[in-house]
Amino acid sequence: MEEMINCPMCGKPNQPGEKSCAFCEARLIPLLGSNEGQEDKWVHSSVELPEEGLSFDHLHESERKDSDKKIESLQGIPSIENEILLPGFDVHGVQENLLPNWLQNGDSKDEEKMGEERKEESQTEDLSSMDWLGVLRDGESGGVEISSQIEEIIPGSSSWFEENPPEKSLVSNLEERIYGEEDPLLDWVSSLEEDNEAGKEIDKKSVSDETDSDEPLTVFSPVPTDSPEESLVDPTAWQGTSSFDSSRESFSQKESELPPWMRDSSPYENPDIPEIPEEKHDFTKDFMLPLDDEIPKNETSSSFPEMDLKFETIEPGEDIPEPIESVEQEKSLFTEEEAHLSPSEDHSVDLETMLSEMPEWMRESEDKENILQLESESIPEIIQEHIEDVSGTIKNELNLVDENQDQVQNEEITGKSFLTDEMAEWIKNLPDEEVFPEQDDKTEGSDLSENDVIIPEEISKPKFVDQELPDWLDEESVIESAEPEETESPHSMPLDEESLQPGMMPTWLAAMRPVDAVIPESSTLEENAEAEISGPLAGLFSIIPGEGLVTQYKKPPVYSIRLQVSENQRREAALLEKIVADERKIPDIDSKKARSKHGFLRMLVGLVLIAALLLPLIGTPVGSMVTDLKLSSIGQDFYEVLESIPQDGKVLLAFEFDPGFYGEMSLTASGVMERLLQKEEQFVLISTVPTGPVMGKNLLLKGMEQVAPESPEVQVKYASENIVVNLGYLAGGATSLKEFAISPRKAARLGMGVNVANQTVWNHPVIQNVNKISDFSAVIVFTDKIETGKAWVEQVKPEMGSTPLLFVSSAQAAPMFLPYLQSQQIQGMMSGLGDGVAYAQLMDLPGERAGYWSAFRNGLMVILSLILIGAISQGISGLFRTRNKNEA
Amino acid sequence: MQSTELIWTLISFFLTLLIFSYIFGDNPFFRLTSYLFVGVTSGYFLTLIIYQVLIPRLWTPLFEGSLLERGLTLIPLILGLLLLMKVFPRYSKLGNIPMAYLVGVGAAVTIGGAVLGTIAGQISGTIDIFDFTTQASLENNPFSQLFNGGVILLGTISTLVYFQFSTVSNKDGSGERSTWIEWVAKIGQLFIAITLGALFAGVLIAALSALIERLDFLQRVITGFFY
Repeated sequence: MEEMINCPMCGKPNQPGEKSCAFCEARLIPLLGSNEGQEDKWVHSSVELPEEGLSFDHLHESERKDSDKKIESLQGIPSIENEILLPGFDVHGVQENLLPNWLQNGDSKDEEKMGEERKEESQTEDLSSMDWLGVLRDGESGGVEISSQIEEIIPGSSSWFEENPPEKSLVSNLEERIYGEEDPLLDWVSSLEEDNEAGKEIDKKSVSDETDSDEPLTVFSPVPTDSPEESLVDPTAWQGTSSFDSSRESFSQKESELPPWMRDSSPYENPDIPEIPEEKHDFTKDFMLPLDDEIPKNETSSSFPEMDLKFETIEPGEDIPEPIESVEQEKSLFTEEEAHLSPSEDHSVDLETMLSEMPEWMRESEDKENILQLESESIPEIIQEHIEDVSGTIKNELNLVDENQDQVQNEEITGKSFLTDEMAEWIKNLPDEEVFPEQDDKTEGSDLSENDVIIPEEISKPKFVDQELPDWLDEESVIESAEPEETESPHSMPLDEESLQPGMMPTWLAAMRPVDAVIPESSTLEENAEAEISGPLAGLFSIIPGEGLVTQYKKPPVYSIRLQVSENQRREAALLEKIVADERKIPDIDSKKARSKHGFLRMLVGLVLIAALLLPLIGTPVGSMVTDLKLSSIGQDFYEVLESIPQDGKVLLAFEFDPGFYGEMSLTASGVMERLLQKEEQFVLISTVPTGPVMGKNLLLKGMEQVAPESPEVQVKYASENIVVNLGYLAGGATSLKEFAISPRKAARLGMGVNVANQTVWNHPVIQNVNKISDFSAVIVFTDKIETGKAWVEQVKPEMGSTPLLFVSSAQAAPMFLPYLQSQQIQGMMSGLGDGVAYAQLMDLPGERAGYWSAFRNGLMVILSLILIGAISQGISGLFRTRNKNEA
Repeated sequence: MQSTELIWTLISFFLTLLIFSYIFGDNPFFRLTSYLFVGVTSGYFLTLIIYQVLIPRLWTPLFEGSLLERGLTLIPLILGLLLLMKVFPRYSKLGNIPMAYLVGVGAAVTIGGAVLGTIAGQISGTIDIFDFTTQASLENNPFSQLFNGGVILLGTISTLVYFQFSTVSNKDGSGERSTWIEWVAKIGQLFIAITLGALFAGVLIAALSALIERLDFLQRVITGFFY
């Protein structure tokens, strides 16, 4: 009965001859081409070691020189090659053992989250590889097991193995090449062969258990036994301890014998087995699919780097330190592997033939490396750095191995190496970089093992750093040991200095150079600069010494800002401040209190003044004359000038007063107007004040009433405006006066009350001959303001020539015109009620001016009396107030 | 008395009485009369400006004058419109042009008149006082004329010295005028006080004269009703 084919995917048995799994439809038969025989040879050569030439003694001697890193060199080999070259050797286990305890603990902690199912799958895969190796060790009789185990690794390869039974294991080939024809441990191998039958049974049982059992199995346990001799030499003991014992009981028994630290380091015992990514299984399927007939030379060379591993065995009776360091543990692992591989059947397969017959999926190993490289990117950087360091060490170890190999070749101990004349030409012609990949390539190759052992991302740098690194992982030691060898590395590309041209910096780049790069002093300054000693800027150069500057400053001296003022100045300043403050205040006016306090007094003063004024007005008989009043000298001048005006002369009358002063101005100017009317002068009225023309007209009519109250002819004459021209309002103030003085026709083109559409005022017969200001006989200004009077003096008088300028002024403005009278700029002036009454009395003019003068005098007396009474009362009150203060 | 004259006389009479009501303090009658006076004056000003300024100086030349007159009238028209922009804060800067013109021309006219008409005239008049030849021709007493001239000269100089506030600073930063300047300044202060008193007296006399005129008007109206 033909054996069932186990599905590499689900592990369930399938009928022989089926190409795909009935359960999961996974491919059971590999996609192989026509060269089945070659693939057959390749499989056998890849899994079998030559029996001849094995020399473990030599291995001991060569490996002890640098035994600490020998196991690590395996990490530089792609894992798939490890699986092929060293069947039964669990790379994951080795890697786990290579990892220090602290890293494994970290892994175990982080991987507690992983599911049990995934853990079982990973262990099953590892066990399958172990079973596959075990079957290989059994020789041809284990062909079915080989095919079944390879089927687990490489789906679809079982049928291929059935058609192409293995002839010689690769391990035996390797041993043959490493140790030569002679086998110093031949007895040991023979003893293994004797027990081979028992081993077959055990292997079969283990394989069946692996496929059927769901429980995690222990593939290899590098547990030091109590007797090193037994564990290393006796293959039975090796099988019993480290072969495919899947029973939990045996494992538990062995586990109990382990020291605590070994229990933690055992990847199969630890429940926190790193999760194997699913991509690995998919990857296996993927690279199995594209199978080509020819193997690319480059990929094949990279897939099989030249490597001869020599394993160290522990001499019987040699004490193994307790606890065994990880490297020592790996040594024992390899020793056990040697013991495990040594009983393999003798299959002399030519390596060249083996390489040429390499299956397509092996040629894709480089692709696998690339994929693994991508997968390795998920590993934290710090782990990768350590892996790189370790891989660098591995590279060195490989070099040492090469040197040892050369030494072995020189001593003609070994028969054939990888690179012998028998090797294919394309392998010989390969460049060294491809045969011996660079360190990075080895690192990538080592990532395969890293890929198997998933290091969770939670392993952060602090956790990594906190742990104490073992000596062999110490960066300094690794670097120190690696650096001199790196310099001597034959793989480093020699620099041809002659071929290198001196670098020329382009001008545009030179122009962009920083100034510091050009100025050499900057570096000198930085060197001379002192570094900050303390504070947050400690260690920095050229720091501005802020602390020193702060200490240089001192508290500024206090200067007195008190103003040096005298007492008098202070009092005046206080008074000014009070005045300003009072201006801003809005006083609360209580009308009742104001009336009660000042109302009676105000009313009393008003009534007294009115009474004093009314009595003379009422009591003075009409037509009475004032006999005691004489015209002043200034009035005399006015009188003389006015009398000098020729009859029918053209007199310019400027009325520059407001209606408020009409009463005073009328009393003052009435005598002048009456005299002018008596002389039948022609009048031209003008004013720079808007109300001036009206005031002038009223004053003229009042004079007419006084002059000819009973002469309608005179009134009609003046009323018909035959002798009177009103030029009206002259807008512009002093400027217009200046213009009027220069050119009267332009300044006052239109008169008041004249139809401007038909004629201009200057066509009037009174002024038709007047072209300039000096053409007037006299200019009489009736004003109550200083400014208007000054404007006439300043602007018009210079243009008047010999024309007299007379002022009839209000009493309030008269003092300011006296200097002009003194300087003869004004030829005469009459001011106030007194001059008016005196001029009328002088001219013997009719009117009631005697009553006005009496009222005026009474009024002045009342005012002077009130002022005197007020002053006396205020003085008396002040005197009493001072006396009261002195008494108090 | 004509009816219109009687009406205006009665209006004047009652308005005068309302103004005199201020003897009894501020009252609505006084305020009513004050507001009425301000209103009538403003209306009169507007009417006067229209008929005395705008029509003869702007409208007539612009629409009835010759081409030259129209062109020349545009200048004051534009300046006047720009001056109206002073009312609007956003465009008030446009009114600066006519304002600059007015201020410049007004300052030139005023300063020129003040220099030639006041300063030169006053200096000349003060000097003429001490011209004994001229004063002798006028048959004035030379001593009295000299005294008058001396008083005027003293008053002029002392008043000018009073308004001189420049001093030399002492070490302590303070500054005081010299003693003789202080004395001259006090003389000038006296002249200023006399001048201001004369002005106040003139205002009082002017007001008293106006009061007499109004009381005479009331007395005349009252006597007119009864007689």
